[in-house]
Amino acid sequence: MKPSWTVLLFVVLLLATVGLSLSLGSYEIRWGELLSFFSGRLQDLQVKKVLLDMRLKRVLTAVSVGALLGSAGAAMQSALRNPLASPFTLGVQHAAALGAAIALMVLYGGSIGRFSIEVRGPYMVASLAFLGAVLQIFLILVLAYRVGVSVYAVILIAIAMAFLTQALLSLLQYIFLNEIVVAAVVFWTFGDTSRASWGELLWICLAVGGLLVLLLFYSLDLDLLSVSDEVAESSGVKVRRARMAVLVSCALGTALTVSFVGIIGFVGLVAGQMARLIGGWSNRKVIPLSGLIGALTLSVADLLGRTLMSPTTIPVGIMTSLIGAPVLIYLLLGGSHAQGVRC
Amino acid sequence: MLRVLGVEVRYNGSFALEGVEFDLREGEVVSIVGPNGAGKTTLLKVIDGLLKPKAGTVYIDGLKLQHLKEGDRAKLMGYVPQRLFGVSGLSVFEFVLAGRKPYVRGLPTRSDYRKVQAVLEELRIGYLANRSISSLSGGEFQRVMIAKALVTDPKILLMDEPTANLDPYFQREILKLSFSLAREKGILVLMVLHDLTQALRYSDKVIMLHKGRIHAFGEPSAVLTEDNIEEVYGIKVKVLKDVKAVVPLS
Ligand SMILES: Nc1ncnc2c1ncn2[C@@H]1O[C@H](COP(=O)(O)OP(=O)(O)OP(=O)(O)O)[C@@H](O)[C@H]1O
Ligand SMILES: [Mg+2]
Repeated sequence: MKPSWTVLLFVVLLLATVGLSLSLGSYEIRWGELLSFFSGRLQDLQVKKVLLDMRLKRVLTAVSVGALLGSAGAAMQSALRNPLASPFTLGVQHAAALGAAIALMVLYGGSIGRFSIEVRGPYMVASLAFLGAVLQIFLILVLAYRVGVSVYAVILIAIAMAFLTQALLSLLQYIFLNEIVVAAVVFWTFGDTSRASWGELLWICLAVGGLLVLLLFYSLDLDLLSVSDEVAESSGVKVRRARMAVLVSCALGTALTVSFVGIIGFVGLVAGQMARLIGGWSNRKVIPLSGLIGALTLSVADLLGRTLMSPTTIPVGIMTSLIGAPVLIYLLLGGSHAQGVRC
Repeated sequence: MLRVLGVEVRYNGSFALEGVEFDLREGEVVSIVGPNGAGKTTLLKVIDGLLKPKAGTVYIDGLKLQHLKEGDRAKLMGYVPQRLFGVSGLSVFEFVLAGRKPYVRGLPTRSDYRKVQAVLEELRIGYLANRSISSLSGGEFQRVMIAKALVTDPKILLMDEPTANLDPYFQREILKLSFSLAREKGILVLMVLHDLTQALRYSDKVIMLHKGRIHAFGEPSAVLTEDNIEEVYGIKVKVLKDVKAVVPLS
């Protein structure tokens, strides 16, 4: 199939998933009602409320977070010449989660409500999540540049770091043994799309837009970096600066999603890999395509999580891990050829 | 147009280049010859700005290399590396297009696409456009690398063993191409060659490197002498002046 047809197919699938997500659930909404909702002629206030506050917000969160993680995954793979790179496998999401949890617990940035965590200092939480994510990226770069470790080692060390992060989260849970801490740990360990508020959703959408523009601006640099640092430098790319700019922006976008919806693993990894299989390696095409696939993956996972064991909802982070972990194992077993950055 | 002054490079203390100086004009084809490890690749990297020398300066059109912006440097010079590790699934077209980077702000435009197409045609590799660069044969890849180097319309073309992976026909094609680029477009072509006959036949000047120093520099027939070759390579050769060939003895 030609790539352009595949793209069209994905767009149609995405729209269908969004439609299904809006209509399916413990409170069923018919497609006719959906149509009248979107044309502004819906009278039923209860249906309107369910649609707006539960379904629409949730599915848009899944789409935008998926798009962000997907495009970040593809860009990180090119920037590090590492097909296994992604916000999850590089440990960026875990580092951001630890930052956010520390902000919340140690600095008492919030308090717990009956159903949700009330964040009193949302900016502080996001700031510490940013800090965690950026520190993790620096760690990865030091590993890649100084130590000159292999592609697999970068990923394995990052995964080890993720264990460490989990342990620290559990430790905090032990020390501060109280409700807010327990809730916070669960909150960030299993990402869930229902948590974002409309305001947070807006932030995520802005981040997706900003990140896409920036990554497209760097798309030729990323193409060259995916071949070799020397080739890129000879073509006038400021290698270290470009790599840093791309990775740090991906990390910041990721940290934003983590502070609002928690850790959602594997989406970036799988989307990036699939986008390359379908659309080739040109980052101009792969990055938006990977964003599209990420959006589709996450909204499908979200829909499945909501409907498979209904009325129990499986958090989307668990769904993506169930799907993504086998994929990662396949890739680690050599399903993709890896080279990696070395200096 | 290209002046190299007192260039010195060390790796971990030992000299890779020492006191290297020469002056080259536009429209010349210049060969760099010398044994393995003589510093040929290092010299090309210094000229392309990929390696900062410990001492010495490279001037291009009277401007110090280190004062040029990355983009301007990349527009002036095309570099064909000796080899490339790594696996990228980038297509030939996309790879050559990425070579337009110094001219592109943001996304490439139609004129960039046209330029890529024209260069691929010029090197007669249009048929490779959609192949992935890691699926090419050595010779095909070599020509793709040259296309990428030429896509910025450089004034200086640096090629590290451009004929290494080619069959005799394409070796001659590349050498003829170098010659016409130099004569018709006024490009300074600076290439590393291991085949001394080729260096003798196809260059205007030859730089002979030995242990990081310039052993001889000048007209091919003055540099590629039986004595020089024996001193540098440690082999006895016969230089046949009438057919312009260097033949090893025994
Ligand atoms: N990155 C490096 N680190 C340490 N030493 C190096 C490095 N690169 C090159 N050298 C050494 O510097 C010397 C010159 O290397 P260079 O690659 O310039 O040789 P060359 O003339 O291109 O050889 P060849 O014909 O084999 O390509 C060699 O002794 C080489 O071992
Ligand atoms: Mg060499």
